[in-house]
Amino acid sequence: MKSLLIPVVITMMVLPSCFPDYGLDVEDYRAVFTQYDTAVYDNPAAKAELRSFYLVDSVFHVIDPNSKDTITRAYDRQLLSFVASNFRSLNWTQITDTAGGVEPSTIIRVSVSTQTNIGYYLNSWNTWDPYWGGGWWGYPGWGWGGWYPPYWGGSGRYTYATGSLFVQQDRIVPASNPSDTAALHPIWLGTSNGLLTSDQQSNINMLSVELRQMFTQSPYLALPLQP
Amino acid sequence: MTMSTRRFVSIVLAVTALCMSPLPTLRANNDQWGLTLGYYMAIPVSAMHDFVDRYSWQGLGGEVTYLATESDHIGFAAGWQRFDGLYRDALSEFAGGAVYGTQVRSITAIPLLIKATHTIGDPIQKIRPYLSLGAGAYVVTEVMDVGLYEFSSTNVHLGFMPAVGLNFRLGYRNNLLLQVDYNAALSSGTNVFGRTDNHQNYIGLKALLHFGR
Repeated sequence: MKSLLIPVVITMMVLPSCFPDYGLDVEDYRAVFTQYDTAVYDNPAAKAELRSFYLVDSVFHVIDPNSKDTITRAYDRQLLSFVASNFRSLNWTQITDTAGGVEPSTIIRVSVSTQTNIGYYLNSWNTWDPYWGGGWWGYPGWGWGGWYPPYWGGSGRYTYATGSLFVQQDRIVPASNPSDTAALHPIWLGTSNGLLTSDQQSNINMLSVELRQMFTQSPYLALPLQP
Repeated sequence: MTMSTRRFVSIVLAVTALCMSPLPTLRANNDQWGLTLGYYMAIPVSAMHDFVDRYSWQGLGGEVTYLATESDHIGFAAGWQRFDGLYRDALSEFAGGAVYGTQVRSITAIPLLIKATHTIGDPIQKIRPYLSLGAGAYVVTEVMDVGLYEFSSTNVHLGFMPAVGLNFRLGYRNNLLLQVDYNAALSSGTNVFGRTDNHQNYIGLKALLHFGR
């Protein structure tokens, strides 16, 4: 059995070094998600009923009711303008005033949220190891070792901020009974999410790129040219 | 040591323990039992290649064998193979949506196979070719990390593994085996994007040490 030990030990020593270190940075922890209602956008008849949108003229700040709103509104106009121009470029008609009896077929809302996350760690092999014990406290559920506080032993605390931007399109479903109100049915949602930096301009630049990406990866949003 | 490394070492220990535990008793009682340990590399093909297109250097495994005749072994093989890759600016589409960003994708395949091996030629020859066929289960986990999110899917696939190789005799009870095999894990469950066409195939390249006749 002694002869078995040598290959086993060599294998155990050499193979772990094969795991790559990808050297990820903040931009790598951002992502753009888009979802759509296939019953609407993959159905030509249902899609043909969509022609116009009304953009709610405020950006919703999704915050805890008991928390102070610390999200800047400095970029709200820019975000709304960008969303509207992208829909218009896809042949949607923007309705800005419903007083004349012209009803939009969809409503678009833009929302943002931020969250500061706090983590604690103990880096002693013999005491408590978060990787064996069930994950970092307050750490989102990712299962790979690409991003975690640097190892220097002892214990400590770290914080990181995440931010999300949501662009939601709801179809207006007219009420069948005049006394009822119209219903809203979500048909498209674009989400940009990831780590934030301390540089606000850098964050807004990333958001602009990601907003563009939302539309790029949603070609089904394009309507045929209207006469 | 990162979590991946610790997990890897755990798997090494588990597979080694699995392969070694029955051996001392069995070998003491019967010269027909043997043990194979090896280093595995692999090339993903077909749907697996669409998800991770990188060569895998990360694999190992073992087999407990029983010499049924002078030319034929049967055995139980267990292994571990990991494919991974970093994909920047990657767009992945799924039913009703898409996700874009830097993606770290990985596939871990754990084959658990009953094998039959036929070695050609006289046992005293220094080099003998062999053919083998394994059948059993593959436990395959696909993971895609994108942004702050992780998507994963684990399925148990029925599968089979035809193989060819060369057996280099190093001594009465020791052999070096070089093997090429095709691992075909049949479609099972849904992949990480929710698709049901979920077969996982790869070509294995193995260097094995066989302790036994």
